Amino acid sequence: MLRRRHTISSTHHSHPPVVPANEFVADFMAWHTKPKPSLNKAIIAFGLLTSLGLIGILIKLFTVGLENRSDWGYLAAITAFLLSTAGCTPFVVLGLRMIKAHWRRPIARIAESYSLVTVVTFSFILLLLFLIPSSQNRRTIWFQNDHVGTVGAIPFTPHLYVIIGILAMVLAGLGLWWTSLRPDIRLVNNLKKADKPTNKSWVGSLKQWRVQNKGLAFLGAFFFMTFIWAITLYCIDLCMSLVPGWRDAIFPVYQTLSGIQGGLATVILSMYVLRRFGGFEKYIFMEHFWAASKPLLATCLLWFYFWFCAFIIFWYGRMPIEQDLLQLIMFGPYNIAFYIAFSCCFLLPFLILLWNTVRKTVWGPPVASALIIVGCFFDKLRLYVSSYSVQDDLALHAITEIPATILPNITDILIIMGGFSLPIFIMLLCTRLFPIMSVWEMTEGLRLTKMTKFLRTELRVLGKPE
Amino acid sequence: MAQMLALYKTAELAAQSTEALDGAGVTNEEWDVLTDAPYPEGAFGEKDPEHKLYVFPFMGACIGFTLAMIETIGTQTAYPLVTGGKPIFSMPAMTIIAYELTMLGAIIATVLGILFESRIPNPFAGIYDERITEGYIGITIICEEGKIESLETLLKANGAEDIIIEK
Amino acid sequence: MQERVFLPNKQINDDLLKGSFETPWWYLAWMALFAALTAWGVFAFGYAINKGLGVTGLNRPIMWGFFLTDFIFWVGISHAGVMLSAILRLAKAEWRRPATRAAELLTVLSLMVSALHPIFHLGRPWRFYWPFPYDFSRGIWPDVRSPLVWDPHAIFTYLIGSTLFVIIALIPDIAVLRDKTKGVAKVFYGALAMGWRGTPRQWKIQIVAGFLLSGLLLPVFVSVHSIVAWDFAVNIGTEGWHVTIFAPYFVIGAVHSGVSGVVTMLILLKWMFKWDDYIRQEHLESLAKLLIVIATVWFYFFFLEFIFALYNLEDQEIALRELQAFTWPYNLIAFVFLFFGYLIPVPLWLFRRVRRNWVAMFITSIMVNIGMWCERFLIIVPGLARKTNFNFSWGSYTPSWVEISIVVACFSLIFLLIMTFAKVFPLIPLFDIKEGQTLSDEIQIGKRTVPALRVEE
Repeated sequence: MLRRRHTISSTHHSHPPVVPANEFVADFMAWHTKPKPSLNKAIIAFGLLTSLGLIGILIKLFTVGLENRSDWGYLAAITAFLLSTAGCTPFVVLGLRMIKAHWRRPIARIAESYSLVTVVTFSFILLLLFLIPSSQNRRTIWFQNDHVGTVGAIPFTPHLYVIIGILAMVLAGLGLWWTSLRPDIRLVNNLKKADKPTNKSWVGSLKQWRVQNKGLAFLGAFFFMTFIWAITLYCIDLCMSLVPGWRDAIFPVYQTLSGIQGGLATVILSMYVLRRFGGFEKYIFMEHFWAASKPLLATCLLWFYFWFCAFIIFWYGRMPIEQDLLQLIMFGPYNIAFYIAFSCCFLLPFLILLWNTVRKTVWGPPVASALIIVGCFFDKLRLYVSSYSVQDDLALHAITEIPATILPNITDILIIMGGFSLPIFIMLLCTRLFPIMSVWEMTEGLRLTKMTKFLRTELRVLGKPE
Repeated sequence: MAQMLALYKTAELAAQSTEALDGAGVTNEEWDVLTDAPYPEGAFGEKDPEHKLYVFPFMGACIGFTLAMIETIGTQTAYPLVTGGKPIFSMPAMTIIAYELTMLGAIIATVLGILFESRIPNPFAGIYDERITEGYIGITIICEEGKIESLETLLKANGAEDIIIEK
Repeated sequence: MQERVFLPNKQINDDLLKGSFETPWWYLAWMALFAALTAWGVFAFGYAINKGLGVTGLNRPIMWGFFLTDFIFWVGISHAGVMLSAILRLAKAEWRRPATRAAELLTVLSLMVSALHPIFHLGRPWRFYWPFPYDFSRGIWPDVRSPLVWDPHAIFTYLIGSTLFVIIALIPDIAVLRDKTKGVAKVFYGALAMGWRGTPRQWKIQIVAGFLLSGLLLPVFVSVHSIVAWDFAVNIGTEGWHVTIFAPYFVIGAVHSGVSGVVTMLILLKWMFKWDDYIRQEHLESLAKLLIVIATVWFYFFFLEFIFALYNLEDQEIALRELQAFTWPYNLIAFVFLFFGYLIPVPLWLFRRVRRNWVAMFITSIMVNIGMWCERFLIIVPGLARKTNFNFSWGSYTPSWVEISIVVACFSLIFLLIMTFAKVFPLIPLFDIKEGQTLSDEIQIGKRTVPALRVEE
């Protein structure tokens, strides 16, 4: 049964109360500055789990080394998972800022804070690059072979360019996070009456706000481009090109969309946690989840669409190369992972989010989001573990043998645990150290909102200064 | 029984009138509003109309899906042509046809549902005036003939520009 | 929202129904021209039926030429309607209001015209109905595993859905015409209005219907052009076709050309009917920004398609790309496609002055469609020209007067039908504009009055 207070029936026109901006600031700062022992305990717990993941990597490094790519498939999968969930959250909030969606305001800061996760992810990618051979004389997007000769030679492919691409994305994400955080750091220090504010230069002049807005727009566009390029490079150079005969033009698009889906799911889950455990019912209400559920449903449908686009082309032609590929990544040794991914990334969330009554609840979208996070992991697992397990010479035209399933060993399990814990640990740490809601964005939104009487009813009025 | 139609130049006057009607004991079932553009729900204090429009797409989708299965399974059973090494009953191909016909069924059923729930076509829909589409707000009332005079006074007192009565 | 104008409802009716009640001289002149060109196209088609497909430029191995290029082009244009009407309606973007009906109409008409093209290039066009499962006595049934059977299903689903969408959304405006006309016209519009009165129930159903039909048509719109793309992509015999990205590449290209087509159409409507209060610079600017995003995504897809075509470093594929990029006349077409489709318009659209300039947007939107037409040509013809391994069966393609006439006639037919529609029904939805005014409000912040929107949850 749905709990009544979470639903809006068609006969009940209730609007959440519009809180005055200064009341919000006082509320939030009181929450931010009060001691939170349960938060500290959670930070320690997830910090320990994250460290276990790092210990798993170190154990693997010292026991099996970097000789055999198939030993590191799970690290590659968890790295892709982190890029597609926490790494994509800034992208989600950028998109919402671009279309001027008001409901982004409570979760903008959390989404930007997840860019700190990409710093750790970058270090994993540096490690994985040791397992990737040069692109010379094998099929890659760098076209380095004897045909090209010295004229078209690009040195250090793919390693250098993957590093540059991912690093650019990391820096853009961090830049976004810091630019958005600056005004609130000053606010926190002022309210705490700290002797040494970390951001003395911010005074909130009109010029500073204009520069900040332009900076967010510029960094947003930069992040947008670098993120897509980073995902493209990661999925091609650290996955597709490791399987002879795998030529799938839609794969980077599919992975980008998977990232957007994962990022949105992460944002929705974070919104739920903030509301449920942070006590922000006054500022995060059903309308936020309802608004978020629509793009989430769209991403579920698009996930199926992009998957089907690749599948139908491979399936229809009946070419042996493509049939083997379908076996490798979908219906063969990793079929269970694929079925879980299919169910959790598309089927179940679609069936949940199809119903408007469920979308209009606080719990519906988070349930779908949790399923999507699980599905995202299994999707990366079936793609990356399978591709890392291929033993064939990469110069071949097609795979000769479909390798058996590689199940996770104890170090892989530690890595997976650490990978899931890392974004949670980062989010909790950011909650402890920084204002986890974007105060300036919230007050901007609250000032642009009012309740007004219209004829015989009451409506919310949203300002559109653009 | 009689039908009355009061015409107002502005929405504010019309809303004022509906409030007066509620105060005079005229129920929501007896009065209605006619406008040339949609207003926010409840703007005139009218009862939120309930509908079952969402049922129609599902019914249509089921019919469409069934037709698609009949077509794909029926045609392939009747003329089993092996093409390109693909199985006779190929799920991906069947999925595409099933998807299209499911959506077609849902769309057609939705449109039928729209007409049904809007209660059109209905050439005898009730009292109407062409000034509604010029921007006037119309309030229609169904009442007993004995109450016409008192309601007329009430409506005029609340700014009705014209009142049409049909007995 | 900054440029919104508040007009009395009666004036909105008079302004937007101008086309139905007035017939300026230029209207008749253009109608005569389009009718003549269409008639010439009908003659050319009749000539092709009589003499056979040999009167066209089609010949082994290039059996798909202008007709298929135009087919994909018009299916592409049809994606405008759903993009602007459905997606922006679901996103509750206020700036969609003047554009929705024009976009939906363009969808319906371009789909109708696109459905004619496979008939044009059939050797026996009178057998066009064979993909439909209709007959028990022949003993043969269409192969549902073929994309050529998926195609009619998709196109007719989209056509029927879009047509119904236009009709449903037209009902309130037909009621206005019913109230404003007399005599036969009144009876005609009265029948079509079906007793519409404008009760809260009817308006609520109209709004819910808009969302429902938008939600249902959106997946259909994605599937239609994907299936058209799979006509090519599932084929393993032709170089350059068997790529997984074809479906979304075609869809995003369709949205690109479709939205550009709507921009062209809106500007023409504004100039013809002097709808300066309804089609404003802010609408143009919003459309231009949307086009920048769509075009950039399209370019990314094109880049991936090109890169992965060469990925396997197969000689035949490299030869095809060299043919497309460096061999006359395909190199010219490739130049036009790249520069007109993206490299000229998009950098121009980055400038606010260009986005808000009617002439610049008119020219760039037409450039985009020229570029996208060339793109479809480049996908189809070069691949077929070198389809087989034996160079004695390689071919070239020169369109004949028959094909050129029919293609031009299709463009004329679209304009003819749009102008006919404008005479009978309003091209900008009246109630949508009025609703936009009703929902407008203001918020005072300090000394500034900010335009605002009343939101119904």
